[in-house]
Amino acid sequence: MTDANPLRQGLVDERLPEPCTLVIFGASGDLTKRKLVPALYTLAAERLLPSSFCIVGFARKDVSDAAFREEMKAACEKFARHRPLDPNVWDSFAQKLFFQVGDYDEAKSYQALKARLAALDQERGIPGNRVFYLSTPPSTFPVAVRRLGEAGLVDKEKGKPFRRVIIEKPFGTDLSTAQALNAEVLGVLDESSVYRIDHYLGKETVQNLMVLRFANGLFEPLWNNRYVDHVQITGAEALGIEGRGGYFEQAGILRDMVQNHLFQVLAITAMEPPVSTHADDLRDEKVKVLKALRPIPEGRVDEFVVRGQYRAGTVAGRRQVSYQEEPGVVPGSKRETYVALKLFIDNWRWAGVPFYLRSAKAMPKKVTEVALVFREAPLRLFGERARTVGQAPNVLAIRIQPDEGVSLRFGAKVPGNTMEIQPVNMEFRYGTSFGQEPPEAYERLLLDCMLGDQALFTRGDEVEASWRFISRIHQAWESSSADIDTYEAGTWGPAEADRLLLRAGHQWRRP
Amino acid sequence: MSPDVERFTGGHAVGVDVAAIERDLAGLWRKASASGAERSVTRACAWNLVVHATTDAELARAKTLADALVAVVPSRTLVLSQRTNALGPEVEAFVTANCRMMPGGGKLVCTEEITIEARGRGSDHLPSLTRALLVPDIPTAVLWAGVPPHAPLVDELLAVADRLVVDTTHLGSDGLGRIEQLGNKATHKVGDLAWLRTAPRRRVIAGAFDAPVDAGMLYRLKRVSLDCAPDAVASAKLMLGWLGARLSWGTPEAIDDRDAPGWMVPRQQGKVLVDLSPTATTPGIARLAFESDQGERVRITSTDACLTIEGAGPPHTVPHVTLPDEALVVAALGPRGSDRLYQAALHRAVELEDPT
Repeated sequence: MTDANPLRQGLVDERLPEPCTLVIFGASGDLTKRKLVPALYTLAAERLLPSSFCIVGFARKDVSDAAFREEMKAACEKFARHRPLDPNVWDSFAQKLFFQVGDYDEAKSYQALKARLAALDQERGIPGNRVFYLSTPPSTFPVAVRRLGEAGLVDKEKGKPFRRVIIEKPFGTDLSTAQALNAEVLGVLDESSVYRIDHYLGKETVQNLMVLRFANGLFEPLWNNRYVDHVQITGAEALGIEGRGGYFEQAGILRDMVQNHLFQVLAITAMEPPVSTHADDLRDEKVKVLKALRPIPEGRVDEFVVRGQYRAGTVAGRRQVSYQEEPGVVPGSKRETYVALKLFIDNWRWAGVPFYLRSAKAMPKKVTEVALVFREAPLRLFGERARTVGQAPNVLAIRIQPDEGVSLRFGAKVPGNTMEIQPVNMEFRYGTSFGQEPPEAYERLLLDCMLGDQALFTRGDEVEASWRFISRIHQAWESSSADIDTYEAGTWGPAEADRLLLRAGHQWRRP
Repeated sequence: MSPDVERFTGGHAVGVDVAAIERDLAGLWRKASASGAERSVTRACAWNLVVHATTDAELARAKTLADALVAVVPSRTLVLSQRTNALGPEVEAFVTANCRMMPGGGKLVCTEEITIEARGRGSDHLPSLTRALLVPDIPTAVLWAGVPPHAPLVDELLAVADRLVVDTTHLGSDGLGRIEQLGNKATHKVGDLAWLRTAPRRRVIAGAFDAPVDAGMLYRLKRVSLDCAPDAVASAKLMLGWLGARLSWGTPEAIDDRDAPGWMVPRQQGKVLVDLSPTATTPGIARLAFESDQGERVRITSTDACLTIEGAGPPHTVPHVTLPDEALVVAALGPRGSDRLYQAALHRAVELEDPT
């Protein structure tokens, strides 16, 4: 219908989805309150939601529409990007919020949901377009998708009205479970209707990585093994596991951060230029990188992967108990809260260039960044002394969070009569260079899904390719009797991780 | 000005010497660095903004706008105060550096403001001073209050400009025509704050024809009525121009025997009567009503900070978003600040200015 509205065409400052209903499974959960509904409110405040739009919360706990609205209002007041709430925007937004009680594995709940959605379609003039957001425990994903299919709420049709399903991470816990989940989901839905969410891809700087590379003539010629010495990707959290011992004992940092977020950042950093920005062209290039990851030789995992677990310490002036003391952690657990990997991408562009990835809890600060460390100048023209006082390799660092931006380190002569060289940083910061805040990742991703743009969502084969690599590491760990390295909370990880780089003459950046 | 912005001011006129102006600015940077202690000062500069003012009121508005833009557009701002009949030195310049605290760190990012006061024949120096003081390799926007006149100063400033930013909200009858004329030059694009200001309302109007309303009624219109405040006629005509551009209306014919402006506008297989009543007491555009030859009606009415839409379904009210001037300037400088639809709407609006 919107396509036929001539006044919609040419409105340059928006990408407006067609009228639709968004159903949130797990509406009483934390993600709904902290991220999803606040993101939707912000989209409403920025006039980016269609005029006919509904949000239906679906969960086991029975609450009225009015109570759900109150709960969501409190959440938006706390977490929405635009605060304080605009009463006019909220009043209008609240009228679009509904709640439907139901059990994820109970067929009749889906029939009730179907009837409710049909009634809302009728009442609100929504032509049957629906997005189902599975923000539920991963164990419920297969049954929820199956029940949606059985109830006729989703199918394999690609046409209109659209029916899309967003699936939160983790998508599987290893290669076999990811393959099984893919098979289950694709038995009910076409891949074009499946939106596997990785909120890192919604971050402005991750998208800017592509712009930096492919919209500038300067960087791409240097973006290869001829000029890049090595690449470091860091995803550090200052917090510990925050009482989520039960979850973390199952997951560990390798599953929680590396398989999804860091591998996505790695893929975008290393991929070839896509032929277009169309979702599949982009994802084709990302999956090629993941498939080109050199498998770690059997029995040599310790040469390429370091795992650690935090001891008690102090993080930014705050006392942090050790992992072993966290509630829900099995005594003597060897679950990793730190992991560092040395990877090689066996393709023409990156042959021989180490990619160092690290991710951890209880680090000195929260930071996610990609740093390309360039080869040094071929000749030390200014002598050994100039080098020792500050000549350092050029580094292009892309800061993903916080203080999103890009910095380039180069050497400059210190003013004076001597030839002293000092590294200086040329910085671009999003927060100060544009007069607008970057949107929250979930705002962008929810909007993209409603618009049918899958470019920032992961495809089934991508997920499987990353699990293929990660699962081998898990298998090696499971068969190993070696103790796990430890590190003091508030430091940059175990000494063994430093040695991982030192063996190649490299060292970790201190971001 | 935002509380996290720190200002460093030279405090004395530095004459017309461009090198002296740059030196004075460099001095402010050193001053900012010294106060920043352990962290260096980083400069972010995305635009040269040239703001022109001829009266105290325009100068005050330009200064207020420049202050507001500190937080949102890293720039070198040249405020050109042109006083043809004033006494005093022909040209004086004052420099100010606005420094902003970075989130989570002590770093500062500065923007620079150079005010050049030209009196009498000093105005002749404004274009050359402007050219000399522009930061290289970044785009330049000229912000002009009112209608830029036919004058050498305008031509010379626009010759170095990538964008002309105007506000046609309160222009007189010939203003839109002059803006269209300036927009036809290949060197720069025109961003119109009035057009951007109506963007939220245009979205609401467009939304009024989304399902379940049959958007086909837009091609069966027999009458469009628009009520506006007396000082909002230019914006109203721009709105009607937008409708005409989107609905492929033909050239309007003025209806003479009426108190208020009105036109008969050809459409596919018929004509639309377009009324414009500039007597509303509500500011801006008060009401826009559509009626088709099959009796379908849609009406959008301004009430306080809301817009009420009456159409096929039950009436509903949505907030009417109003953006501050600095946000509009940011939008005008952005890639979407000047679009083809604006040019088409402006052309139609000019046709309403001077109907055949």
